[in-house]
Amino acid sequence: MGALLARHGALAAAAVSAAAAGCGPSRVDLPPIPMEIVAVRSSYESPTGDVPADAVAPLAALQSRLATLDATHLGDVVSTLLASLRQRLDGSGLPTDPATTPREHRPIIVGSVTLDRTCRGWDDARTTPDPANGTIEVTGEYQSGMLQKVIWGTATTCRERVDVANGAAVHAYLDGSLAVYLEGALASDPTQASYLAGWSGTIGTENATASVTFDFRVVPPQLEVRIPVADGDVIGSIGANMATLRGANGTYGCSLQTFTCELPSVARGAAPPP
Amino acid sequence: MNDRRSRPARLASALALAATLLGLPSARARGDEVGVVVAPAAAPPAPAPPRPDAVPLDENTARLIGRHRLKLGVLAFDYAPTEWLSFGSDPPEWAIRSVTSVLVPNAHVKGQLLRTPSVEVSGRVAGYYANINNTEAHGHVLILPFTLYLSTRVARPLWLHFEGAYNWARGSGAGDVAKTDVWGTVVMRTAQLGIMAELRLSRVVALFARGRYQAYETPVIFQGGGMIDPFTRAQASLEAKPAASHPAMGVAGVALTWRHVGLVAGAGYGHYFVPGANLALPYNNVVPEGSLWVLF
Repeated sequence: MGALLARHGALAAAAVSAAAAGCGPSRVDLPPIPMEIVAVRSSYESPTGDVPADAVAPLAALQSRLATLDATHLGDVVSTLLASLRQRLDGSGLPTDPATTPREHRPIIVGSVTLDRTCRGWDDARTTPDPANGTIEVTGEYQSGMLQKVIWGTATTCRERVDVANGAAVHAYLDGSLAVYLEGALASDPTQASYLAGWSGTIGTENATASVTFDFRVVPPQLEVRIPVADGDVIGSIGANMATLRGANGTYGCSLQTFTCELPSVARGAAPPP
Repeated sequence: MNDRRSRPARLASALALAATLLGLPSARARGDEVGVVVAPAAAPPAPAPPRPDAVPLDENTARLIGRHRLKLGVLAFDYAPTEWLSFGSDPPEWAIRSVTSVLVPNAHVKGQLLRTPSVEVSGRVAGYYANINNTEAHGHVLILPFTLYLSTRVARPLWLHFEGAYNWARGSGAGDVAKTDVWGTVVMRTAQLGIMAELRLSRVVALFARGRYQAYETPVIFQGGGMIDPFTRAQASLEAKPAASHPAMGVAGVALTWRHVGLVAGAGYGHYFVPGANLALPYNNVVPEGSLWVLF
C-alpha cells in the first residue's frame, strides 16, 4: 500500500501545488467615479437661474463657449472616444446602454474598460502614433451588471488632429480632465452620440490656449451649454437664426442681432423676463 | 407461438429473467433447492473463471473502470491502460458547441491512490479550454478541476462516496466575456463538496442519493487589452459574478450496472452542476440525474 501511495504521491502533490497557484486577485479594482457631472446634469434638466431681461452677457457667453467648441472640436473628440468605447464593449459582449439591466439568472458583470488613446498630432501626414503628441485616457465602469452613466478621463498634453469636412483637419490642444454623462446608449456612430460633457483644464488650438472650466450637452442635432447668470445657471443653444436661453422662468428665443429675448407662447407657464 | 407451459411455470421463467437482469442471486445457483442433492464427483471440478463483474459505478466515486477497458458514455469517454489509471474526455462540454459559438476541448485523467476491499481513494484532474476571441477582443478561459474521491463501505450493502473538488479557473485577456455565459454559468474558482450513498441491492441494482454543495467561490477576473485602431488601445478588467451564491443540489435515483452497460437515472432539486467542469447553473429547479455508458 505504501508503494502505491508513493507512486501516486507526485500526482497528488502536483494537484495541490497547481490549486494553490490559482490564488490571484479576487476582485477587480473599481476606480472612483467623479460624480460632479451628475449635479451639473441637474442644471441642464432644471436650470436654476432666470433668463434676464438684459441677455447681452449670457448670449455673449454662449457665443464664446460655442466658439471654443467650434475651434477645438472637443465635441467631436469626445464623440469619437465614446464610439471607440462602444466598439470595445461590443467586442466583450457587454451592454452599451446604461438603461440595460442584467437578465435574471445571468452573471453580473463588474469592472471597467479604459481607452488609452495616443493623440494623432498636428502633422497631417503622420499615420502612426507618437507618444510625444500626448494621450487621452477614458474609463467606463460596470457596477451590478450595468454600464454606469458617468464616463471620465484625462487628456495629457494632447495634440489632437480632428478630421472635418472636405479632407481638412483641425489641430486642437487638450490638457485637463473630462467627465461625460451618457444621455442614452453609447453610439457606434459618433454623430449620433448623446451626452453631457464637462471639461476642466487647458484647451485651445495650435495657436492659442486658455485654461477654462465649462460643460456642454450634445443631443443631436442640438448642442447646449450652461451659462452662469446672477441667480444660477441658464442653458443656451444656437439654432439656424437665433439663440435659445432656457431658464427657471421659461425658454426664450433670443436674437443674435438685437440681443433681446422673447418668451415663446409654448413656454411652460413662465413669466417674461423682468 | 403458444406457450403451453402452466401459469406457475411462466411466472417462474419471468422471475428468473428479471433476477438475471437485476443481478439477484439465484436459489438454483446456490444449490439450495429443496429435495435436490448434488453429489460431489470423485474429483472436484476445476474452478470456473471468475464471472466478469458488472460495470463499475465510476462516476462520482473513487472507482475506476478497470484495466484495458474502454468506456463510451454520454458523460465521459474513458480508457484505462492500467488498473489504477484511466483517461478520457467529456462529451457534454464538447456538446456546448451546439448551443453556443464556443468549442470546449477537454481531457481528464483519473488515478487510484488506494484500494482495499472497503476503502478506495482516487484523484481526478481535468482540463477544459475555451477560446472567447472575436473580431474585437481576444481572450481564453481555462478550467482545471482537481477532485479527490473517497469511497468506503460502511456496511455490506452500503457504500459512502465522498468528493472534494477545487476548480481552478483562469481567464486570460478580456475577449467576449458573454461567451463564457452558457445558461447563466459563471467561470469561477470554486471548491465543492459532494457525498453519495450507494445502497447495493444486487450485482446490478443500486439505489443512491447524492448531494453537492459549492462551499467556496471567487469569480475569475478577465484582464486584457487590444488595439481598436492604430492610436487607441483598450484595456478591460472585468469580473462576472454569479447570480446565485453557494449553489447546492440533492438527487436520488437508481443505478443499474450490467456486465457491459451502465445506466443511472434519478432526479432531485437544486442547482444543476455541469458534470466534469463542475459549473453550476444559477437557478434552483428540478435536477435530472442520468448517465448511460457501455464498457468494452
